[in-house]
Amino acid sequence: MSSPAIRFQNVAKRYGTTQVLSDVDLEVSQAESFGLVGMNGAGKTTLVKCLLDFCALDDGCIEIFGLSQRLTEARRPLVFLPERLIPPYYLTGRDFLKYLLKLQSLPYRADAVNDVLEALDLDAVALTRPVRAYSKGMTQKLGLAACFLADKELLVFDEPMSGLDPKARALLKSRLLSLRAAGRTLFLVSHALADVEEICDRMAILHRGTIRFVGSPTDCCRQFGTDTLEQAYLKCIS
Amino acid sequence: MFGQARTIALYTLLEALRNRLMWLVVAVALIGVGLSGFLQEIALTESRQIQLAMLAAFLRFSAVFLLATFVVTSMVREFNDKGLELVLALELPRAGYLFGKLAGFAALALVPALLFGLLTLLLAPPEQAAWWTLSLVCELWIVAAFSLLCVLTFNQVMAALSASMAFYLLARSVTAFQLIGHGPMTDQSISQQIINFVINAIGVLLPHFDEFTRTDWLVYHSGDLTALLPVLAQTGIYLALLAGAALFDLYRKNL
Amino acid sequence: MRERPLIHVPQAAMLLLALALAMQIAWSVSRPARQAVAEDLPPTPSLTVLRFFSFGEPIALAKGFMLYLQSFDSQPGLTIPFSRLDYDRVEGWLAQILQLDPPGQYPLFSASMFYAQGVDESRQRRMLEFIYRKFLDDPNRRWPWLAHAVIAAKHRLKDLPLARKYAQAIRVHAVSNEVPYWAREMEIFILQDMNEIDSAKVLISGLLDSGRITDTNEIQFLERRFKELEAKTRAK
Repeated sequence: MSSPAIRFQNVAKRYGTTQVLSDVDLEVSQAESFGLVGMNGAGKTTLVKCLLDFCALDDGCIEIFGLSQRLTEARRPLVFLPERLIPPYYLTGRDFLKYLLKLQSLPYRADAVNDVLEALDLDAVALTRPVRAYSKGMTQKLGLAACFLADKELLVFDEPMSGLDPKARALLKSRLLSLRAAGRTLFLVSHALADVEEICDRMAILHRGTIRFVGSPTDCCRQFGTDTLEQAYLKCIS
Repeated sequence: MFGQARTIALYTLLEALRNRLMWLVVAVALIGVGLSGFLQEIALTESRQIQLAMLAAFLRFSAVFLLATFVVTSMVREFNDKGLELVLALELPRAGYLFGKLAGFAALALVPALLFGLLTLLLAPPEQAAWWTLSLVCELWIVAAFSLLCVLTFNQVMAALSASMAFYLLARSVTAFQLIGHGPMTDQSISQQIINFVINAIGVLLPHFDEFTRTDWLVYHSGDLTALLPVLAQTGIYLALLAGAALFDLYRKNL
Repeated sequence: MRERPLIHVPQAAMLLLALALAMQIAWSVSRPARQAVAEDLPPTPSLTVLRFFSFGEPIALAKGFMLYLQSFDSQPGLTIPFSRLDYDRVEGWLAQILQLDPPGQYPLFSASMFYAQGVDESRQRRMLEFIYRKFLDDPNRRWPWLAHAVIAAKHRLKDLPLARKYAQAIRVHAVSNEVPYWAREMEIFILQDMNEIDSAKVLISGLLDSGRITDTNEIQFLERRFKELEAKTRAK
């Protein structure tokens, strides 16, 4: 049996005297689409930081495809899109894509780039402009393009829909669903319950540093006896 | 890792080119030439020496200041824009990132050093200008590495830049402090001995920049390999020390 | 944010840091100790250059340069006796500093207290002449240093004519009310020492008749002095 894409085991993290995460147990299976939801300050970003070894765990362990998250090579099959992407100010869009691809020892192929941009409704001409001239939506699309071009097994996205217009959101959802169908693993952190319901096989609700629910969106509604996921979520965290 | 470090170095250089640092370097060179030329015109004696000495001192300090400022502001901006997270989320060890940055800043240091060295060629013999330039490169590499360490420690422009400049000024004057402390006019009470001990300890841990990039090489043609070899040795050792300290800091950093 | 534990630092990094630190210490300790090398006073820059580099703060620059000049007698690790300094340059520096900061007293203080002492006679005379020339530029402010020069000329150089020249200059030029009478009347004592009693009496009469002396204590002092000199003349 293959190891899960991500395994959080008994993860705990403190900032000073504040317990930000405690007893977090989660498994994300390979080829699964998983959503992590929670309020602001629930600990979602901290959990992602722990996953990426940006900060040290106080307890527990995390594995990425069976490797400890502390190992650099554990991040080989992974690509990450942060919540508020700010590309290096001195680069153009094209430079940014080339930069990230080079760091991953991947070639820059113009045809692949054009395909991805089209899939995200980003005009290819934008690549010639400096990124500091981009709108929030354009920056987000650029970040998503960089992640898709990397063609990794595991995609970790923090608020991927942020700043996108309705058309771009629809296109992104379509892309994510096709990636799921192609066997990629998606780990999405999101406030948008509707998107999680549509895209994710399973979800977890993180509240005040602890996991309150793990299961499919349907199971969530059933468990909390509600018609909508939103109502189930509110009941869960109340 | 080395390929990744090379990419980071190249893009660091690109940042310097695109944010007009080079224009500043050229402007400083022109100001230096203009200033020293003006002084040469009004000096009554030793005018060429005065011009060369003033030019060398001005260019040396300017190069240090420009480079330290660029390193600090560039790194702080990268931290604030989460550029570090973007890159470290990849399969890139923190050491690879650090060595890439160091290599980029080291390559960048060559630009003012070579340009300013060429300027001294107008007034000094080629051999002396070469020693001076080589020593300036070494000095700039140490300053860049220390500035990077300060940014990792302080995370803020003012604190990091102040610490970098304080380090530079102290490293240039530590020998004088040591000599004063042991001078015949200095009272050797217990408190003075403690002060001397502290100064000596600082002197052991700092590079002695008063031995680097000496103006008298240009003015009095006194530079040679025996003067430069200790500079090269000190540079190698100190860069290793700063790299080790920066790695220690970076690996312990929670992002 | 609390730092990550030490275990997150690769061993290679720790080793690099430890080894480099050991090498730095070994390198520093193995280097021969720097010996203090006496530096001579450099040539004086022109006033134009100095004004330029004062960046609008000539007084601060003047004060700074006085400290710099002073440091030449106590350089890091050794002392240089004044006798080894180039007095052309010392004089040049003092003159330039006075130009930058005319009311400043430090240059003439140094000239009279340091550079005119403990050196050979020619240097002493040189410094005293320097003080005299600069006194003439601002006598009401610079008279104290010429008064020192009078004493130096009289007691160290044993040159009474020179002392009289300086004392006379104080009497003639330092006419402000702030100048104490003992300074203005130093010439009288010098003349006495030169056994020129008649000249001293003429001087006192002249001062009293001129109407410039208004202080009653000073008038009484001069009258007393005149009587003493008369008594001396009669005694001869």
